[in-house]
Amino acid sequence: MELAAQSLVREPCLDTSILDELPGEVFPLMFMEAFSIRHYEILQAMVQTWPFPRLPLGSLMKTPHLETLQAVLEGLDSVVYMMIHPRRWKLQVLDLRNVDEDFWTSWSGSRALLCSPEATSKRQTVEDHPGTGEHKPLMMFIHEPLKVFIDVGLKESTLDEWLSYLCGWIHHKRGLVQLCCRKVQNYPMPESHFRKLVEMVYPDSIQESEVQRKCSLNRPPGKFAPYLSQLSELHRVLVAFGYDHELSVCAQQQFIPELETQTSAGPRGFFIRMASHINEHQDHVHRLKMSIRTPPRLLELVGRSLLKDQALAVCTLEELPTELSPPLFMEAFSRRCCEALKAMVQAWPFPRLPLGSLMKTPCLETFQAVLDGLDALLTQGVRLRRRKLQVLDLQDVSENFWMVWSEATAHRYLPNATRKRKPTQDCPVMRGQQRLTVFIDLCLKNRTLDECLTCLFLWVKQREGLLHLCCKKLKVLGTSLHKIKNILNMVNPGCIQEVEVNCRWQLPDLAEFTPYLGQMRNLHKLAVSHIDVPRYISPEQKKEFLTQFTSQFLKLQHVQKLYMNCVSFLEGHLDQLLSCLMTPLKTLAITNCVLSEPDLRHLSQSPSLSQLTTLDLSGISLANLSLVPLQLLLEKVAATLEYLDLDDCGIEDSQVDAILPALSRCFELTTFSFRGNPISMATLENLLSHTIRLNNLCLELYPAPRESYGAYGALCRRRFAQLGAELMGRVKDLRQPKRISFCTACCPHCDHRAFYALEVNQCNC
Amino acid sequence: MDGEEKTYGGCEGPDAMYVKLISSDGHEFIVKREHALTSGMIKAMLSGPGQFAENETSEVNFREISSHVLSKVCMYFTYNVHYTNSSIEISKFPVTPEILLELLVAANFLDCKMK
Repeated sequence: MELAAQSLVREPCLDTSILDELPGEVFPLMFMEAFSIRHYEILQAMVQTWPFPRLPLGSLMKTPHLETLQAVLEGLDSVVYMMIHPRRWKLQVLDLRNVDEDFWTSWSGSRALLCSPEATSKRQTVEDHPGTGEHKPLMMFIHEPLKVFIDVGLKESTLDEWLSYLCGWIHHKRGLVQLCCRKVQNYPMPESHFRKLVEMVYPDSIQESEVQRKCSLNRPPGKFAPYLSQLSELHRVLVAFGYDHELSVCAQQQFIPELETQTSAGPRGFFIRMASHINEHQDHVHRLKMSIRTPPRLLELVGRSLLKDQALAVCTLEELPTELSPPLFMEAFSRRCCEALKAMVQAWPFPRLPLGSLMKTPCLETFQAVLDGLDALLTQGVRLRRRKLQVLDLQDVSENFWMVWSEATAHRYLPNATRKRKPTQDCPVMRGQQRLTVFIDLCLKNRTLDECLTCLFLWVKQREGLLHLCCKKLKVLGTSLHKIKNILNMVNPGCIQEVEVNCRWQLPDLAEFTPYLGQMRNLHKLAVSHIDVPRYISPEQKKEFLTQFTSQFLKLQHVQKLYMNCVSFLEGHLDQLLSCLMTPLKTLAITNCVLSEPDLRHLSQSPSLSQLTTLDLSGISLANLSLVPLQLLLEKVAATLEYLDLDDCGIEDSQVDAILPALSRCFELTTFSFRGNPISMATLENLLSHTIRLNNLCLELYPAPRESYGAYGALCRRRFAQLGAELMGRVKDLRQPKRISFCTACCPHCDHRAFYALEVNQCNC
Repeated sequence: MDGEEKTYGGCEGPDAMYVKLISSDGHEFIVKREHALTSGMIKAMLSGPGQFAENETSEVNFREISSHVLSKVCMYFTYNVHYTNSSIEISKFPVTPEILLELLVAANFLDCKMK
């Protein structure tokens, strides 16, 4: 028979259709033959007509060979996409692990030994994936995905081409193929690659995980911990460190505490192997060992069983009591049961679905499933008895919701959740006109949007008119204006309440952004940071841009908070900005800019600044300016001012007198910060005696007196401690301060200030 | 026949070693008190400050939970107690699909978790 098979395979123009006719017993032999002579077309065809449920390719491919894998995968392609229906399609599992050599030997005797010389006849019973075969789905409308088994051992810092090809293939077939991985070993793989891989693997399949780090890290494997919560079948976790300082870093920071919370139903065995000094970490290890011994809750067990059979889950959703929807949703979301998720979204019994708080680690697959479910609600007008969902909330709030409905489940998936009640507001615009509202906070940091956001925008665009995308907070932190224009066009500007721009734009960019700004009628807070004025701009052009920017404020009737940091165009033109403000501001922060004396005068004269609660002028050099305008301003806002920050203004002894009278009348002041101003001991004492009458002061930060510094401006620690003690004593005589400290200038090395509070605290340099 | 009479603790009184859980269709399940306290709800009923009538007799009536579900719950109690704070590898807890939904509702009601 061997000879027959050989000659059949070597036939140059073999018609692959005859494979359908061949008896199943011949297949393994022919496959091995084709494999050894690298006849890819036949391999491909054979894969499609494979008569067994399992193809143990791993045992044949001791040395991974890319073209063979490609051929096999191509063969699988057409079937996975259901394009052809061979009479004999039985293949359910592609096994790339190094097991089941027995399969080949039992079917073809001696031949196998030549292909894979290490084959033994040891019967290695292959454990099936825990989810398969337990019970047949009741209804076959869900296509059972193809399962690919693999043991992942990541030894290099990048995936080898074999593995990366496989991953690429699977990536394209999301939902159709499940990558099941019993063992995951991670040696020096960088976090991002590992994360991508872990995201692709079906979480329930990982039973053993080994994390070994030989290099010292700034970010310990704590980043890996969130994934552990999804690995319900995890049996063994082995964490080995090359250097024990890593473990101390981990233990102190995140890893072990995170593991503690994540593994409430988790690993049965946890091994930590480290170089030495295990003693200091005994209690961490012990605590961890204690916390992982508990069996899972019944609710979790049942929920998991329900979700394993997704068809069953979908059927039972109609009868599910309302209070069980949130915990079941959380389980389904973390286990990526897409079909169940889709159905649950449609049957969601509350008007609001706060998905944002669950999506701390975004996963495209599950997000897509939720969107599909929403589709059914929107476009098909599904008339379920319980169709209630009106709002999809993607903001990072409302953890409270999940906590209220199921505290224990929420603790597993939202480890930092608290019961803090943060009221979520409805959208003031477009209420009731659209069928569905999606709330989202946009933080555009990177040069390209992340996958989920891209997916969302595409989805929203295609359903224009059917839903309302409501963005309350917009932060532009890294992208160029040109890239976000599309986004700005899609979002209704009337909903935006807070805008932050901090990505090194130049003045022309800002001017281009202003039309959008003008449409944000409900804007409460605007924060603009780091806007440069390029040298090629003429003064006339600059004035024009500035006018464009400031004139937008005429349309904004609700601005309450204005933050301008490191913007150089304000100098000499502050009056232009202030005159366009339509409403009295609550917060004004102009920091790290250069202002002239006329600017200060305009500050004191502006009618919109008479009700300030927060005034922040830190970083503005006031050294050679008259502080009378500041005095006038403080007098105006004395009744309302709660927060005053004059850090690093370079205010000198002679100038302090000007503001003292007004300052001592700011009775509502709770926070006063005056660091970085070179005043003498006497002035400081004088200042303290004026602030004594301010009973609401909770936090006071004063500079170290000038006498603490020696020649050339170097801090003399001893003298600082001495003077600090003296001042503290003086203060305590006068009153009981709540929180007061005397701070030096920032250390140039570590950017921290040394300060003398109730105890001395030095910087570590 | 004579000999040592083995006595088991009864279900009477607040300190009984066993408690009786009665399903909606009248089946009585007698389980160890310690096991039943797995459920937060039962624990509250049995040890609350005299507000529940169950305190007196160590009996709890479950009018919404049928016997085939309650029996599974009792099995969970044993499973939980057996594997808590032990070094045995925790085995699977089998749940048949027919009772899944009812068991889900019952589990939620009973708040079955280890304290």
